[in-house]
Amino acid sequence: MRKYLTLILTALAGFAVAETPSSALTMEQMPENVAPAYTNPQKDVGSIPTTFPNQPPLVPHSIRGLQVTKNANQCLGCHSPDVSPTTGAPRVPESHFLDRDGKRTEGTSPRRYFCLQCHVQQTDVNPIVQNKFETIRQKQGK
Amino acid sequence: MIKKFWNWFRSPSKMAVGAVIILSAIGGILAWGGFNAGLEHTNTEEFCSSCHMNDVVPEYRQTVHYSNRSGVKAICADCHLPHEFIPKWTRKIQASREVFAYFTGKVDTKEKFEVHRLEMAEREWARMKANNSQECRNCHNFEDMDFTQQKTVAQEMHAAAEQQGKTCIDCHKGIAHNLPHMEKVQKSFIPADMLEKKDGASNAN
Repeated sequence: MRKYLTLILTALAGFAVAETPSSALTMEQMPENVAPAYTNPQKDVGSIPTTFPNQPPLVPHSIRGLQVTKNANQCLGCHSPDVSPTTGAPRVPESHFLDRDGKRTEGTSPRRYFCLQCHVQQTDVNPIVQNKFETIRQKQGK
Repeated sequence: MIKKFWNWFRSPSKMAVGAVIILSAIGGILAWGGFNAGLEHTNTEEFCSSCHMNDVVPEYRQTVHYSNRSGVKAICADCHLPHEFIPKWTRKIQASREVFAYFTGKVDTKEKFEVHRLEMAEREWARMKANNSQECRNCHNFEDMDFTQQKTVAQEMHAAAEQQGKTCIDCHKGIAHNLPHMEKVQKSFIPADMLEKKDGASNAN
């Protein structure tokens, strides 16, 4: 009896050992563990057309190293109304210098200070879920 | 004791003249070489980082002068220390003040560093303005730039800057470190007088 029991147990143990690797993916192979490919933001692509009314225009150039901090806002270095005639960069509109009571502020407005909150950079990726959004132009073209 | 030394010092050596010359030559080489090696050591990234790891080095490590696609980098001394003999020594002697500040703990915390950041940045900007951004131009020259390879805005601004005799640091502040509070410095990274010129032209029209 004991002999049989040992045999059966050994066989079971053998199965168990043989099954473990094939039963599931290892931790490293899990989809969650596969990092998305690293892609660089686009460097300079002229201007990207907007796709819906009141869309914040996208950032069509590299912004590596440009600082938007408590101390300095380097976006305004080219885009602020007083320098944009020199640089030729799109000018920040009046509405961005109003405080919440509609009063004009000097230079910057706290609620519009962080440009990249709305104006985002673009990069060439192949999203897992494709975007089916139709722009106004595409819709009007139909 | 001093008199004895002085007598020994003044009296001619009993050694052969050749031996004295050779010995002093070897001594001279060792002293000068050792001194230069020590000085070189104070120009390395490791030496600077040994104190500045708390403030400016992590900022610099985010920038293109530390890490980039081609692997050419500019270390601290490339920008902060002139290569020419006399300016280099002037800067090295000034740096002894910074060592003093280090030992007295003037900027030993991040908070204290932030308080003094503007003052320190302005000193460095003034130095670079005075030598026409020599440390930038050791690598980057207006004459050697192919403006057609640059972004449209950069093309225009560099051409204008060259015409108006601007220097790199006039616009390119904070390229390797975080900026201090800029409100009082200038409106933006476009030089103020470059704007005035443009305004004057538009007023004339």
